[in-house]
Amino acid sequence: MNPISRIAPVTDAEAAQMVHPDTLADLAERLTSTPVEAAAAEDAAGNTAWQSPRRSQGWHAAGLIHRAAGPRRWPGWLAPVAAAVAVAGVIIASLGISGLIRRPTATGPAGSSGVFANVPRHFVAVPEVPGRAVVVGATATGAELGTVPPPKPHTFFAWVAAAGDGRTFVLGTSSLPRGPWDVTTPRPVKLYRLVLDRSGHPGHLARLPIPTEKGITGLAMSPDGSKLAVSFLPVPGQTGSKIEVFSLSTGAQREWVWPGPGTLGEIAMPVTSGELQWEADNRTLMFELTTRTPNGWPAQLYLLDTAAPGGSLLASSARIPVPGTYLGLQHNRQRYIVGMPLITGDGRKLVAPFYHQKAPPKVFGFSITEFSVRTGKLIRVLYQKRSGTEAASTAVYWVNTHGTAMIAVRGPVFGVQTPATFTPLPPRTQRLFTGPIPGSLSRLPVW
Amino acid sequence: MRTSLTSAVEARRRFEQIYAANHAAITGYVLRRTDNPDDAADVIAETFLACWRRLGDVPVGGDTRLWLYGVARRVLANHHRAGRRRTALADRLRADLAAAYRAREYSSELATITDAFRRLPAADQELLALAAWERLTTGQIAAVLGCSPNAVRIRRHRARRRFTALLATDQAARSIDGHATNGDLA
Repeated sequence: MNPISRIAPVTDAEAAQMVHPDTLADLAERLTSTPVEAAAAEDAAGNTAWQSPRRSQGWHAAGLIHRAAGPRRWPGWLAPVAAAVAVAGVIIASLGISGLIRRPTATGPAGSSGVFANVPRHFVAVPEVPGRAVVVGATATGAELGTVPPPKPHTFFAWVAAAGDGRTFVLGTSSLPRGPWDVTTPRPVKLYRLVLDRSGHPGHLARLPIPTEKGITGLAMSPDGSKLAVSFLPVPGQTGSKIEVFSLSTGAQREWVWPGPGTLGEIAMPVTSGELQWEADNRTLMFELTTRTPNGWPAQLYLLDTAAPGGSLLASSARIPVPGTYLGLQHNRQRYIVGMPLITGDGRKLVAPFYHQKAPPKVFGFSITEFSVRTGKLIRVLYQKRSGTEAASTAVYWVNTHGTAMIAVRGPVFGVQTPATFTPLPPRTQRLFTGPIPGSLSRLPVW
Repeated sequence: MRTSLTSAVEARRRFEQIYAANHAAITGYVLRRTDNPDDAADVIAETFLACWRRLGDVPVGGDTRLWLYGVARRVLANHHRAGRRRTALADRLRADLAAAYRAREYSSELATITDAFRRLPAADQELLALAAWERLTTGQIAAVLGCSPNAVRIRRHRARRRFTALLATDQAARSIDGHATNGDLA
């Protein structure tokens, strides 16, 4: 459960109840008592409307208005109806933001279907709002192959992880509180395995017997689908964040605890993926540890050998020597990795969206960059774009074993990035996770 | 003359429709971000005033609410910068809210979450709150903030990291009192 939703001081429905219908009618009447053209003209002239004597002539001092004696322009039932409309409207369907959208500038090669053969055939697109179903889609065609609603009593998906084979996924579900102050009912996450058939159609959700009563901050399924790695917040009163690896066949579990302050991954708000990553050997797990200092939140990347006995996460892990200034969240940096990098299946490279700012004048530089896992040094820039806005930013969602194909975002466009080309995914595919307007991102796609 | 009268009637009708469909959401948005009903009333009134002033600019359909959130966000920022500016328009609304508004009391766990949340930079708070409180998707948040969806995704990643780190620090500092649980934090 998103913890921030639990500290909302008031819900929309409660807010609606706080205002008397007569007040609503009065406010609307006052607002519309001046012709819109005149109000706009005043606005354009820099006149801060409310102190305008001309406008205030027709107004009554608040508290002296007794509208009960006069005709009521806004019926009393309007408030609950409006509240219902508002509550329903909070879960809004796909919305246009056409001003932000740019057409894909790159086009795929003539044989782009060959490019799609190098990426997982299917993906799940996880909704960001409660009550909606996961959509299963075909990467190369955009065909919608099925939907999976959240299993009752849970109402939404908070976590998702993929084995990377285009068929096997783990989904974590939870439920919203009955009210923002209801903290008496435990709402742990439940984990389910979803396996697609060979044609990509989803099967049933199979519950995984994994205890998740603690705060999950990361989830990753091994490429062979046999193991699930889960990271957790420290137990209250203690400092050690931890990783547990579960065998999905036997239920065996092994646990490593970080011997000091620091957090792994992040809380799901609203749905999260990619905080832990397996190498193709089904043994090595990459994680990022974030600590807190006066200068910000520096981070370090580590590789955990999950064949090692449980115990100290530090002792069982090796640090990837990427410069510390490139990672985490620190002040006054001009070059850094944006988000969590992906590791190639062979464990040799990191692929990361990278950001480079030059000032003045402010120019944003976005790239997709490879780093060596062994040396931590930059190997190659696969794509770069200098821009005056963040609209050109990049992201990487999936990478293959050797880093020769990845699913990346360049600006608003999702596509297959190779060392030589960028082939946009078909618009129909992108619409499955962006809604009707490209780039609007109403579902999180996971391959 | 007839044209302008018709236009005025249509404008009024459109505003009333917008107002009816969105006043609860905007009132909730503002109340969740202000410390007292006085400020909230002013911001709500000013937001809808801006809507009336710029009725021709207000997008239709579901975008209307996002546009109003964006306006309310800017009005709030100006309100914080300029200090309290009482408006006559908001007086009645202020009275209603003052009578109904009650500051929340938090349990120890919620107090920890609240404290961590309030220690985040304001931009992080707004980004996370738009998802948690207004239940907006990435694309919708981008529309409210006026940036790209990918920028929202990146900023949200940073905000979540910071929030998680703050929360873990706070939880570690809190003694186990038998009520502590982070089972809802996924």
